[in-house]
Amino acid sequence: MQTIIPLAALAIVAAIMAVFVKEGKMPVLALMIPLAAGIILFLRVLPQLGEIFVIFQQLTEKAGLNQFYLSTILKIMAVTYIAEFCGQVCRDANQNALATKVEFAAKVLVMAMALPIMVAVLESVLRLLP
Amino acid sequence: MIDASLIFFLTGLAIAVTIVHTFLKQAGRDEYAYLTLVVGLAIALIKVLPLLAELFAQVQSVFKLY
Repeated sequence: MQTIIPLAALAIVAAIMAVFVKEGKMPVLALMIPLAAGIILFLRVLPQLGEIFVIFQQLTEKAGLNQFYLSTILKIMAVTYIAEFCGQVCRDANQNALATKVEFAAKVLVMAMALPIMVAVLESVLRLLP
Repeated sequence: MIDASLIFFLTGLAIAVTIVHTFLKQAGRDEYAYLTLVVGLAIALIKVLPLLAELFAQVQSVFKLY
């Protein structure tokens, strides 16, 4: 609760600054100010995300699940997040084609990482079937 | 902790570049006016790119993405 207010203020100020800068001679900076604001926001939130992941890891250990599945899910989340971030920046710069390609690349990578889990699920299904 | 001063720095940079650019253009030095834009972009990139690299490093360490 007390940490969301500075972050919200930062985002609003960055949006106002970006609109202001866009009118001047350097519209490139209108792209870089939201980028910097997004990076700062995420860097502020990231430590708490790390704590959440530690708790998830403990739950996984208690449940006796394979550690490999959790790390795969985390990797997929990271790839998706970075691709989304990059795609939004590209879309802000009116480069929709580039954004779509980045997201496609992320989909391919996620598919490649999720494939071992899918194979494991299929193998367990096959074991259940007579 | 990363503070928000970078946003104000970038805005000030944009204002300064705009003023210098307009001034040089009024004085008829179009090539120097363009050069100010290039220098401003370079300064902004020098400030923002390390932040982006730090973001990627932090994401890699938090998500255990090696």
